[in-house]
Amino acid sequence: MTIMPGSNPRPVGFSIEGNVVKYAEVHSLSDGRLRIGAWGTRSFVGGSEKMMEDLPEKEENGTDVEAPPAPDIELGGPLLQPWTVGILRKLKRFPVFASFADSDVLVKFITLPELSEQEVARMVELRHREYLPLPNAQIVYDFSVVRFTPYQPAYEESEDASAGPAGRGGSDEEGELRVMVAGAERGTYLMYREAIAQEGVILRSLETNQSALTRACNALLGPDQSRTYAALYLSESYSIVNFVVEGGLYYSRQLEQGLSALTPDEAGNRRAERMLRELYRSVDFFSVESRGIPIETLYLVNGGASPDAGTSQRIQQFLAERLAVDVRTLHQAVSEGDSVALPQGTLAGTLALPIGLALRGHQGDGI
Amino acid sequence: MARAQMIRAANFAHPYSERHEFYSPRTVKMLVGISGLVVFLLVLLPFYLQYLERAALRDQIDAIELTRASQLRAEQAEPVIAQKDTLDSLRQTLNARVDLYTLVESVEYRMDRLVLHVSDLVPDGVVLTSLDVRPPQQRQGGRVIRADETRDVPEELQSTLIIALNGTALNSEVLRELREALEESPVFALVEQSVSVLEEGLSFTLNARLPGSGASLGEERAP
Repeated sequence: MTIMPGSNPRPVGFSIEGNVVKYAEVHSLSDGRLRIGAWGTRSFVGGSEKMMEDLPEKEENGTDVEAPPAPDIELGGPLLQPWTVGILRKLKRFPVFASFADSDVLVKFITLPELSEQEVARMVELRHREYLPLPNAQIVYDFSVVRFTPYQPAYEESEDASAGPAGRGGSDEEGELRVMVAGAERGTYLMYREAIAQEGVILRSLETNQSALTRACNALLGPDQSRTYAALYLSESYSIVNFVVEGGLYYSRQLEQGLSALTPDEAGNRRAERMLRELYRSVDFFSVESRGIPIETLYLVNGGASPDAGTSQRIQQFLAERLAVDVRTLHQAVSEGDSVALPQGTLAGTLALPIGLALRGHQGDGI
Repeated sequence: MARAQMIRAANFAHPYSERHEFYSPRTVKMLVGISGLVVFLLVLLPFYLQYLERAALRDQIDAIELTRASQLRAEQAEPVIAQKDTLDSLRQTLNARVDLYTLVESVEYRMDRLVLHVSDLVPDGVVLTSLDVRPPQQRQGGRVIRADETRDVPEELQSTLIIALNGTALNSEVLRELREALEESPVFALVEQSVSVLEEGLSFTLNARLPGSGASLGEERAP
């Protein structure tokens, strides 16, 4: 059954990852669980378009149908080409929650003293040029207040005061805000808007993959929203590592290595070692920024259009051996819980981003 | 550590840097609210105008009904008023007759005359003892008509009333008062006056006639 808007169309998440676009329609069941309705991916491979989509709509208590094997993928194609727009046309009349491709957006995390939203906006307005190295006239930016941390004397005692962020020691009773500033080049931003508007899609939000990934992990891991963990999202051409503290995104970094780089040969091993070093640096930076908040679990989130279970398992083993944390795949954790009714196909694990985007339609802007 | 909250999420569908191009959610809500209110009022307007129209129509109908009711009452009252006038005049006539009849103590037909005995008509000691009515036919003799039988007095007898006064103090003053009393009576029209003498003494006769009964003049009679 193809995706068809009903009288009350449900939110659809739409993500772009390199040469792969994905969408997922998320239902909220009466018992609070989430169910993935129609979903699909479309990839652009070597000048020809291949798609795999439209999981047959299952009944509330029905069984999922396994999707067919995914096609091979070549990387490096342009974004928002006609093959991408084809899916957008398919999503006409749905409330669409989309995200920038990671290469199209810059993300910077800053820590501010406890301020009102208007004061934060003013601060970002004055200083966004420091955070986002783009010409002022060509930048489009927005910000997320991703986390508010009240005053925590326990961390003050355990950490050297000089290691804390600037302004931390000024007022002992003030909390701090973690703010994510995101910016895009104006031409890219306009391209997204025009491409989406031309197809008549109802664009509800356009955000970053980092936020969507955090939202998806929190929802898929279960009702306990106060988890502290790291999530490594493996796309085809890049990776994102998210550090989530008590459900709130604290720090994120984009790594250059993706699934396509982590081949089981010698070159792939070298790239894996480089990714590992980047991970170490990210963990160190997070540790300094958060003044020692421990991370115990790293969830591997598969992206791309053709997840290979063997590759995923190999990366999991590699990271588990080198990192002193519990490394698990998100799909494993979801299978153990029952907070979401995920499709059982091999593609299911690749839907984290569109699911996270669509969840914004269910959970509102505050998540 | 307190539970983390995302206080504000970025949304490049209407980014902060381009906020001058977009309405804020608060503005959108306000505009939607105002638009909704305007649409609501516009939807209500025809009903309100219809209500006003109907109210004006109701007022007109009430006014027309009020006028019609008053006209109807006037029409219904008209014959009653006319009847009332008739009755009033009739009552006056009857009252006058009754006034006259109540003066009659007894009626006696003596020889050729119908004698109505009245009393206390004139104050100051003057006693009007009788009214002498002479019938046109003189063969009625011997019959005495009582006061309660005056209604049975033949119409021809009523045409001429001859008032006979029995008294010794008859003078011009008494005559004048008697004449005025008869003039004021709507029943009788004083036609002529004369003086006659009854058996008992000097008497006078006033000739009068009932209205509408034709000219019937009294005659002076000697007792």
